[in-house]
Amino acid sequence: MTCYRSQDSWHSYVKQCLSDAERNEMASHLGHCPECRDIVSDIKKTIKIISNPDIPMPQFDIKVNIMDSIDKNRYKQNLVSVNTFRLFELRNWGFSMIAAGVFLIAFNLTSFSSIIKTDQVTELGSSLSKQISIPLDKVSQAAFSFLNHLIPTSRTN
Amino acid sequence: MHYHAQTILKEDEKIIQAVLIGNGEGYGDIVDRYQTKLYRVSYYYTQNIEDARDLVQDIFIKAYNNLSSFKQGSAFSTWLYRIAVNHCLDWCRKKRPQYAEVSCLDIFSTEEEGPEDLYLRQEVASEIQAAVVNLPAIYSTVLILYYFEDFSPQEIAEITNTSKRTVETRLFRGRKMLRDKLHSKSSGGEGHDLLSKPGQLAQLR
Repeated sequence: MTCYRSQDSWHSYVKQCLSDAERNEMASHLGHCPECRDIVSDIKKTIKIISNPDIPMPQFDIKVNIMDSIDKNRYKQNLVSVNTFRLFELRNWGFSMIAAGVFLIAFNLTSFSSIIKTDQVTELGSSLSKQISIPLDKVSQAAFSFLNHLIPTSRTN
Repeated sequence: MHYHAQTILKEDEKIIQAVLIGNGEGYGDIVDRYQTKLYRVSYYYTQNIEDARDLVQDIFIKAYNNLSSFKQGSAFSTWLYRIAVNHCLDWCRKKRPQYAEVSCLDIFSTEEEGPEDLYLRQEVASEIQAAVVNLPAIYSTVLILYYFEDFSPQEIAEITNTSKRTVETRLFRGRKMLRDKLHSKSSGGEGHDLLSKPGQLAQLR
């Protein structure tokens, strides 16, 4: 072996799975390198001799045994657990949204306080809270009943 | 060819997705598509029908149980062959009997033709397969996939998780080792380099 390219990608070359540029460049090399030409020739001959050999095939059905051996419900269970997780995530999102709403209302109330006289704050606060607390309760109750209706199984879990 | 490969890829992906959302029966389609190919690979390693059948079953069951770890978008066949090759190599390490050394390769030197051609061809194929599988595992695997099953070096690299350059080197060395092995075992000795003198063998095919 003297050619530095004797161990190049000749197996890929023979299977014609190189880029056009690579293939052309290697073909050009073959034109003036008898050693690499011999290698390519030997690979082709070997393929011709031993490719796709005849082998005895089994007389029985492999598929039946495989299908009997696998747990066909294996991924159904996964599907249920994934959906449960998603619904649980959805319920958490519901709680988060309600908490965010409460926080925003509280934040708005504090911003009022800077422009209202101190003695008016208590009165205004109590009147606003009366107005706000009723719809908030209703919203919370509605959200709870909706979520419980939506995911009765996740509560049992 | 490329279009055909893409179609197979998409069909495989469709079946896998169906299995992963609970259609376990759909796995039968995967078995239909790959059982012959995997049986062939298994047979090269085991050299007998019963062990090859058992290996194929184990490979398909293992693949099914690990199907959730298959990355969607990659080639399912490559993933499956990787499991198959690793499983076969494990089997070889644990159970493969020590085959008798290749002993009757002198049939390569005969130039006779006759009704026994089929028998001789099977014998030749069997001897070469035995010689290949008795090489060190890193060489036998690339030779099996390249010469017996028509994979490209790039595909073999993906299956065996190595670089294409490494596969090329192993093919080069593996082929040389196989040639030396067959050469040393052929009865004629000098002048019976079987893999570089296919004319004699070709007459048997």
